[in-house]
Amino acid sequence: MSPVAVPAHVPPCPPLTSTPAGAQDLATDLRAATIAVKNVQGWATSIAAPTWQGAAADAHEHAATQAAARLDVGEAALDRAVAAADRFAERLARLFVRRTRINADRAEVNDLIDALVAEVAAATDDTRSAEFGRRADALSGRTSALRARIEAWQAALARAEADFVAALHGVDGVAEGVAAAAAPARPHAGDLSRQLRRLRDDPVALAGWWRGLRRAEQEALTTEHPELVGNAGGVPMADRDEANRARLTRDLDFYAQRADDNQLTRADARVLANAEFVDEALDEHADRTDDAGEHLTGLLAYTPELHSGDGGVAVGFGDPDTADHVSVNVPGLTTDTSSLAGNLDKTYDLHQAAVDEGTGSVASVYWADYDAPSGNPLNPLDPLGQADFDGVALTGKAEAGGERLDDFVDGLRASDQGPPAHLTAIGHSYGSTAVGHAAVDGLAVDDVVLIGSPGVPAATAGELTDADVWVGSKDHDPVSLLGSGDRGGVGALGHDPADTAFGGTRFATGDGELLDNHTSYFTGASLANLAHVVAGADHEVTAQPPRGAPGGGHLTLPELLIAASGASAADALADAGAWLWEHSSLDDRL
Amino acid sequence: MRLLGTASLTLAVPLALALLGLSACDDDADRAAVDRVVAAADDARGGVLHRIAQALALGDADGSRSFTVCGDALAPGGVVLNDVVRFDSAGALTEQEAASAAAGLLEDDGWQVRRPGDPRIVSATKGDLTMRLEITPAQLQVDLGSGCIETSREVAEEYDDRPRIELGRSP
Repeated sequence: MSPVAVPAHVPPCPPLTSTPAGAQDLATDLRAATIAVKNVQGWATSIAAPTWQGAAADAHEHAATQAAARLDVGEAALDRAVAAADRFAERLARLFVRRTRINADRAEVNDLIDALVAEVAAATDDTRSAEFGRRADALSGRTSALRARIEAWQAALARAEADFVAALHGVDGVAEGVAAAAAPARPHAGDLSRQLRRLRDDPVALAGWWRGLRRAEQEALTTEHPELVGNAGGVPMADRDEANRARLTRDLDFYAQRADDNQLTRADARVLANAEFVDEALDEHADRTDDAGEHLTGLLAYTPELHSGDGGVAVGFGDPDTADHVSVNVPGLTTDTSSLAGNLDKTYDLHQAAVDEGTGSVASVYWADYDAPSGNPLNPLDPLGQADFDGVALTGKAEAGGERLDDFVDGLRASDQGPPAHLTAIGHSYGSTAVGHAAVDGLAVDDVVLIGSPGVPAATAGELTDADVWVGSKDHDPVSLLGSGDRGGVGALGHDPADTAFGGTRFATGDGELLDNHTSYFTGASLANLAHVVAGADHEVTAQPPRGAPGGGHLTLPELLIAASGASAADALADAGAWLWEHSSLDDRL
Repeated sequence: MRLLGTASLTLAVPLALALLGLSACDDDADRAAVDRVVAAADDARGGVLHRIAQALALGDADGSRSFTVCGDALAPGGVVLNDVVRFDSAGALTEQEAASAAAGLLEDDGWQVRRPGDPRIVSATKGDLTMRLEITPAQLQVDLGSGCIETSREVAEEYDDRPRIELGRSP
């Protein structure tokens, strides 16, 4: 057997020591610092002396102007540092993707080398020598090309790091800051802000305008008005995330400082609490990265001051602007920013299940940027629930929530890149009522999923929306029996979408323990079917007969409450005992 | 409360005390249940996951551990364990080979393995633990955790208040 020159294995491509997610975090911190400086600079520019006259008034104005000017120098320098960090993060993400491809090709080529070596070793004559020679030559070509790609990759990484360091060195002195402030190409944030405000209610127009901006202009707007950029429909979701994370970081620092200085108002305290909840929830997912090595999560809406102090937030897994399948999950009763972490876990479970379907890329958004009722009116021991009963019994909050959801989805559609995504809106509990109100107003989705719904504002699926309507209603879920229909619900919030007359597709949800049924739609059979819908695998959904159809009904609400009373007695007793103890020790008039 | 009179207090206070006493014993049992799951997760990280890393010739790992509350105002509290581990990969194996190797090692270790529609994913369960591996040529990301471990609201909030901890880099 003649010798065959089989090439050696391709060596590994070195790991990225500067990570895309790390660069994103650095950029966030730099943006937060820039926002803080711009806030102070804006304040310095706007302060006016009292009605002084003469030399004192002149001195005051001179001092304020000088302070504003000095801050402007720092602001210009920070703007450039932010831009440099942003570019660095983008280059690292591209390098991560390149390395992924190099690794895949390396594994394939090394496998082929091993296979050839084994076949050559097993050969006993020269019958296949020519073939072995051709294959070895081809593999030599591939290994050479791969080695060259690895060298080019290493050189690109070194250049990216060197460029970043040079850019930071370029603005680390006062003279460089002054030059940056005076540069003709420096964006005029005032003009840009006015245009952003003008286009705020037209996501399509805003998306087009944003795409036409230079990156430096986008960054200048992000740090000038993060509250606008971070919540504006039409701005790409990645840019909204950057603005919101920077604002969150700044809020945590600013309000914590005010707390230390005993200057926190009640409203400030709620904003700080909401910011801390969001920070903790994002932190729990901080180690999860996407296929480009960037953070898997995106902070897509952040309004900590809104909704009666509960705050608003939207967090996505994956990139909604590029994913094939996007879901928006709207929660219901008792939702506020403090419940973000637990609800994000459920959304992440759905995200994983949808990814597992293997039908394309997925993004899963948890959206809680509306004023959901604060309490649980079904719990007589929940004072918030009793106080907020009108918020639940009446549909005002759901209607208002539906409008905000409509706006958010219009923004998603406007910033979507490439072919339109397959978009699913999921409403749980009171969130389903909000989704229902959005749907009758023309919510731009392909599928609507209503789980544990107390009612929707349409008698039929066709009246609700042109989208496909899916319904998950556990037989022992008391909230799902509130809608008007076969089970005799009151119907204060609308029609039971699980009813046969409604015409939606009821999917199997399984059934569990009596008290858990309203909160367990993101597990088991229900989760599996949710994932099928989200991933566009409708044929995999397992159906369940609608209520009123043979095999579709179970207990009515009064029957369920009677049956549940025995099971809940122990819990009610424990709650009552604790409540009584607390009041007997605190109220000395007993 | 004045309407209830002292008679109700005579009944209510001992009842509440008895219930709170029982509750304290249950809290210890709840913590023990969570700690058992945590110990199982530590064993899995040091055991089968380490073997998977060796078989796939993976690089350094880092990760974190956190706890979240499950259930809400309508249902009893509980705790979910969330471990996230990420390994660097240099592509020693193809995605298919890596996924098959990982699935085999998990099955050998007594895990029930599921291969969903996406070939990059390997899911497995063992006792209270679930493990999900997402395998790409550049990295292996692992979600190792539990479903809802039922506990009292107090114990659930106790674990939820714990800060996220780094699991530390390891070769």
